[in-house]
Amino acid sequence: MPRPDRLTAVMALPLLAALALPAFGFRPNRIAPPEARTITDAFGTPLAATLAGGTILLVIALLFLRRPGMRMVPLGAALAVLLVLLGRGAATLLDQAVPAARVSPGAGFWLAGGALVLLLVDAFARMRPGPAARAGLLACAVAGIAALLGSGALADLSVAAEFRLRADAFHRATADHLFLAFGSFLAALAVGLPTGLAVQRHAGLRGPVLNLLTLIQTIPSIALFGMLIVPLAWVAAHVPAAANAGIKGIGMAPAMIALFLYSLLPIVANTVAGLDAVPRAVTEAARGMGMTGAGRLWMIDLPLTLPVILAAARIVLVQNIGLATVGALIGSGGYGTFIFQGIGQTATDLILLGVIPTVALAFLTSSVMDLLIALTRGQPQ
Amino acid sequence: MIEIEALTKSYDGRPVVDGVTARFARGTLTAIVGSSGSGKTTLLRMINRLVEPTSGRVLIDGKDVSRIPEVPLRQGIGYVIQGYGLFPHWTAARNIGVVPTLLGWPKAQIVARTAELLRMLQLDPAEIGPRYPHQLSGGQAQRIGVARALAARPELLLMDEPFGALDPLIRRQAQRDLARIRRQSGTTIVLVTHDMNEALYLGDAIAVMRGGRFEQFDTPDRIIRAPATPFVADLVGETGRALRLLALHPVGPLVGAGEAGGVPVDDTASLSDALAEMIWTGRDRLPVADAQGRHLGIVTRDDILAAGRE
Repeated sequence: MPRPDRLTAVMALPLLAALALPAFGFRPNRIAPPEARTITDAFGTPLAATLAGGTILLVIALLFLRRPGMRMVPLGAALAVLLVLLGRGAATLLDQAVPAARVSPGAGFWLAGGALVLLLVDAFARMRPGPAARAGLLACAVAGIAALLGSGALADLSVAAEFRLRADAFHRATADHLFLAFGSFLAALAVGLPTGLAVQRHAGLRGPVLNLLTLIQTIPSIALFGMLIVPLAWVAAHVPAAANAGIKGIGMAPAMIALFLYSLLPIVANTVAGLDAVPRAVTEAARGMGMTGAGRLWMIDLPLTLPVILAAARIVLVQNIGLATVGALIGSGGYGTFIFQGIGQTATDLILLGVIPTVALAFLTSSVMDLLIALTRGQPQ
Repeated sequence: MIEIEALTKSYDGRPVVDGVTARFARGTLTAIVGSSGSGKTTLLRMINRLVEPTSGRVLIDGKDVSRIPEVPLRQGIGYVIQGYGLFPHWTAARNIGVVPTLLGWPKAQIVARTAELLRMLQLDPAEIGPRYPHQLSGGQAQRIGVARALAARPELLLMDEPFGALDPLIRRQAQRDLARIRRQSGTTIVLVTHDMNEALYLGDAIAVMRGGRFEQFDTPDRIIRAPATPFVADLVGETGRALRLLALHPVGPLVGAGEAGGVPVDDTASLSDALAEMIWTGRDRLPVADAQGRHLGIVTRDDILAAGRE
């Protein structure tokens, strides 16, 4: 008998425990504390028993299925079943309840879902996928999630109900969040790349510039937002053009500036490190061949530094997507608005309406950036 | 022809190259020998203006290089450095084609020239051309570095320790390749090395450099026979001087009439090779043949020994 798969042996515990945990949280209205509902409550004993049997079969199959491609088939199917049950269960539970009632996924679903995703990612990683395969999986995952949300299969879940109440605000928040995170990144790139080049060429600039940027990086985000309110309010009061452009002590402007400042250090530091890593002999040869300064920059330095700059872009984008939520505290808009409103109202669904897209956006961005980095590193160095 | 006139380079008032004056004739290979810190690399780099002299000047075919703009000047001079400095993100073929590309040659012409150079260096264009530098062996990378320097058919080639990173066996082959390429192309070469054997093997003229000055600038023969300073004598070595001298001269001029048995030696073989052959096969005279195998005469042991004593 072959040796059973070790990760499955570990993951069997949460998968089986999930069956015993409450599958749903039921609330009579959106801010009431949740009451536990089991699978049996939602679907009756026969289906609950079938589900338990199915889970045990899945665990046994995974213990002995070694080929990663083969493992992905039952795992994908199980995840699909889990999501369908989630939607159906919510619909069933709401059928018998008051109109304001809400159903959210319970501990059982989170645990089982988490274990399945982990096993899927592990199976995929074991296939040692190239950039093309990774891009394919990412596209499939995005398309699958879009189809799932579009199909209405999860429309009865509490977060979806919350979304329907605030669809307009959500779209505005999405636009604001993207503008904050990517706009500040692009501005930092436009300033940071030339700064990095200058710092690398002039040894005297290196210490002061990098130290200043490191100092900015150590200021906590809320403190930096606060520090920007006073000067920007002064500018808005004294420079009519700035005020007309929408610059105020609170709102988008200070958040944008803070994210821009935070973005500078990774971009400048990585540009400098990347340029430092270009071998001396390569630079010497390029000069000796008669390349102009601009020619060397475009043909040699930037291509060789690109993977390191992309690594900085990845750090900055993920950092900005997260920090942009904090901007909501000073009125910048974005998903953070929902999070802080939700905390104020003790409305978990509203918090999740801000948290889920933030996490998804950060994850998607970092996956895409990882792919780009893999592609540029794929060129032999 | 390269003329160097009272060339000086100082850093913080300390001269690294100190008033060097010399002429390197067209089509010759001048080897500049010295230990590290002797100023030999700085001198070389002043020829293509990677270093600007503090005073003095360099003339190439009568033109002062300081009056030629850097970029076209360097594009017209081949340059090979230790470690080669191949561009790691470009294939071998693209590396070779860099100067023709900068000069705006048509693409088809660049491709043809690249293939021609690879074949000249005994590399298969279809196999080696598409490889990246990290996929090349040390010897292959060195040859790509030489091919890149020769791509635009420069009349002048500057080489800074071009064989320094190679192991001895491959180095010997690379030196033979260079000697052959030089015969074929007639390029003027200035080569910097710390290896006196390399200089003696390749050089038409040798400049021994120390403390920024030329201690002696002479033919290999004169460097061995009449070292100008104790330092030069030390570099050449007291022992084995006669054998080194024999290694410089071919059999050809010593050929006399006569017949001898056994395998003939080539008339271009060095006297030291002929002597080694005599010792090894127990003969005191060897038949000499030319490249086509025609019998030219014989060379005797006494004549070779006499040549080594002169």
